[in-house]
Amino acid sequence: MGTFLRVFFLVVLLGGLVVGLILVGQRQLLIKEAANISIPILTKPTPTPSPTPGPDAGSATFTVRFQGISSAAAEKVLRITFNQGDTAVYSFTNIPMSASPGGTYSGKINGINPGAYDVHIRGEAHLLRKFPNISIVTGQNTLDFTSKILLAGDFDGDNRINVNDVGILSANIKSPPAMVDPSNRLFDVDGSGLIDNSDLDIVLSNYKGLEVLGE
Amino acid sequence: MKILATVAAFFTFLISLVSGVVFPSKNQSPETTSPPQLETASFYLSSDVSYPTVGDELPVSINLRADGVNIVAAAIRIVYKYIGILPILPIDADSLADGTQAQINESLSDSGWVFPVNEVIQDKNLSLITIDLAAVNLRPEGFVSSEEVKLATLDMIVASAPPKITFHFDKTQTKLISKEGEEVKLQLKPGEFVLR
Repeated sequence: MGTFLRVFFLVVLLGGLVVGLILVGQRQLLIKEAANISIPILTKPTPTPSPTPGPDAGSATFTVRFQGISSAAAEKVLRITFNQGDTAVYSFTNIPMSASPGGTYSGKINGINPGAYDVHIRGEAHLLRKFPNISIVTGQNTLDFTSKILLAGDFDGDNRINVNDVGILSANIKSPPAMVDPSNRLFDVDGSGLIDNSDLDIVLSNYKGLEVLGE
Repeated sequence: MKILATVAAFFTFLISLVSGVVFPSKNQSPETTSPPQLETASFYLSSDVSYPTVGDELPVSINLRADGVNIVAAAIRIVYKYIGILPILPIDADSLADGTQAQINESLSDSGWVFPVNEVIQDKNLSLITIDLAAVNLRPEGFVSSEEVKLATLDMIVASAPPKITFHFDKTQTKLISKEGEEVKLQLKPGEFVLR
């Protein structure tokens, strides 16, 4: 009987430890999965129109300018939102933008029902810009948003330029300057193909207060 | 006897279950979403003038001690809340620039420092003086020093003499960034200056 009880208690003890370890393992897995969530590198356009575009929905070709770029440079992506009041009616992310020889970028979106919208535009490392009361009609629309340049320097995506953004860029400036690759292309603010102090100079030209907010 | 054994087994199971959950957790490094922080550095204030009286100048220096951490940028907000009439009047260090500015330590430009933000703001409604300063190092290798570095000085005229004035660092806006792009853990002590 004594031996039986000892074995019984040992089995129960080991069972408890194993269950405990399994629970911890599951918890750590969940934490790890949560920690791995990051801002995706935007490569494919993901238009998420809502409501469903009607038969008279329009499409739009639009142009923007990114600060620091005045000649043909690498493709960029941006996010564009069509708002009515406080509601984002259409939101398009990862819109591919290609540059003209003069540095003006153009892109295209489809499936917007006719109406008047406040348009919000934001580059991957740029502050939000607002363009109020933009009219969309059935068919093809041409929208020129180059009146307000997209200001560079919001590398952490919080729609503000502060010392953290400056630090993130500075951390990517090496000697000799690093060539642009998919992992650091955000920091090539001027599209030169190098990450260097000329990119930092552009960001510092916007860093006029401890927190510079987007619109 | 069987009931006693069952109860004992149940509690043994519970204890071992808790042990299995608690002890491994203690041995594993925590993974959190808070930003990583490096070694401790400090911003602090000092003055060469002791016990200034009305009409005297009170120069307050803004200092950094980074203790050998490679740094690239700093943001500093210092606030002074007063009651009634402002007892100290900030002196503008650059009459050509807009607003009131602190006097930058010009010798730091030799080691690659620039100061994109430099403004002293008085909010009469809130009875508040705010000093905002940002420093960025342009050298690709960053900046390393174990010595005290004077970043800037704010000169003030003592207009009236309360027993003391106390400047506080705004902990949300005062940051030091390492060459790795991470925030350095900071010690921020208020600066107290006794007037006569």
